[in-house]
Amino acid sequence: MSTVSVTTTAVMLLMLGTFLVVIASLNVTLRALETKIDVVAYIKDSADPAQVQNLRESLSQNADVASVRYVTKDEALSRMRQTLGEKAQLLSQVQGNPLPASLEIQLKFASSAPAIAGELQRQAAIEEVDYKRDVVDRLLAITSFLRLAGTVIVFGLAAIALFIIVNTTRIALYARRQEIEIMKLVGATDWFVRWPFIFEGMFLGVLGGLVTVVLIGLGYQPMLQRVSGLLTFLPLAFDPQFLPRLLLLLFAAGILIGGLGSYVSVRRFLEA
Amino acid sequence: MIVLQGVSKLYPGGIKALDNVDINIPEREFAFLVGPSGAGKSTFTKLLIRDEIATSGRVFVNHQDVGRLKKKQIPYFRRKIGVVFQDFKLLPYKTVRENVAFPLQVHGILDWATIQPRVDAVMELVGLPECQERFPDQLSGGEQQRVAIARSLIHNPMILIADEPTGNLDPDTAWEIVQLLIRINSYGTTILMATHNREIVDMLRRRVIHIEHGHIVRDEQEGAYHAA
Repeated sequence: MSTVSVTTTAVMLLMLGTFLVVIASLNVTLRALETKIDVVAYIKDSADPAQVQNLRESLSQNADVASVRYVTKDEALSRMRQTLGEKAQLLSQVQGNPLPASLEIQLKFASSAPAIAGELQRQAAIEEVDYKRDVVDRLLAITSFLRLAGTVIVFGLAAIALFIIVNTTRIALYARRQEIEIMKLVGATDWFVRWPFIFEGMFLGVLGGLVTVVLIGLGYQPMLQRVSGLLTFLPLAFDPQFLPRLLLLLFAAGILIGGLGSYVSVRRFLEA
Repeated sequence: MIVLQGVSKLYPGGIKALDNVDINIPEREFAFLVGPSGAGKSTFTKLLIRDEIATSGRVFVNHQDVGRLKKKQIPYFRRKIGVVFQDFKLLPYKTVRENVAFPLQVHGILDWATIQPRVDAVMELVGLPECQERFPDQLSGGEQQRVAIARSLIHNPMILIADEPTGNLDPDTAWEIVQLLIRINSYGTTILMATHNREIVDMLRRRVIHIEHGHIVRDEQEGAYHAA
């Protein structure tokens, strides 16, 4: 019977762990995507250079900003030449340089794009602000959905593991109901009755956690390489600190779920 | 020692197990609780060990108002009472010695150097000094009940409540068990014994409390199973 509990706990934790790996990789991916969002602020030709300099400095001190790059009018023109390629001679028809200088701002979080864009728009030196509004909106919608769904699924799996432990303990309690009855008749406190079952639950949780830790510890790297090989378009970069943290978390989750499940079950049993 | 004041017990569905019962069992008394099945004997004993709570009235055991005990106090209250049942309630996978020592362990006494002399003493008292390493299923019914009595005495209770202790035993063995209880009573333990055993009650001529339909219909100091 204990083998069954350890196996079910292990399976639950394994699902939980695998899911956390997926969620964590997705998070890394999403964060990578988020930093690819740029806000471009076009500077008025008439702008005071000191003002522009101040703006650059205040932007680089902003916590949401990853980097700021100043693109001069000349650089803008040469970029356009490159973009146009053979058609660049068309530019010779144009007098002077019609292109504005600009600030290219790379963000840490896509979610700060609207606020920063709005702030820049109010600056006197700025002609126009541009960012990929619909891309940002869609990305934000996807990330918030995935994070919510992830949280729901993680809690759902934890609840299932808890439910299994509660019921496993109930079977153990039922098998030992005579002993518990006698314990109570001769004056055992509730905690005296409870502790062995809670320890047993925690022990089962530890074993389940251990199985999971070993499986995920061994399977993490190969699985990762395989997935990133398949999904080359996603930058599945990995945080090297993630694995030990995940293992610790799963181990703690095993103990907690085991202990809590038994506690709930014994409590109900003693009150009945 | 045991006092019931206007005690009634109503079970869900309106079944009245006890109806306005008053009783006083003083210290060192040996009292029989008799009556047909379903008369309220079990409810009576359950109220005394706080396995049930009276619907109205007050129950005092050892000068403690049993109904007002907080949940946390119940285990400590029960440690002053010994209980013996018809079905012995011994743990089959524990030896006699472990069964008898069980209450002490439950009370937190784990040191066998302290436990063993007490086990020896009660096993001597119940007349089974040689059986400590055997398991309950290697003993006869009478021997098992002796072990159960030894277990109920290991923590020196002031009261022993015996619910049909001879119900599963043949007449000779039943008689031996009752003589053992009489001896325990003579050392000062108050004993309340619920029973159906007419011969024993008639032979001993002790106090008899007769319950029927939740009422005390008779309470005699040197009574018989049936009214004279």
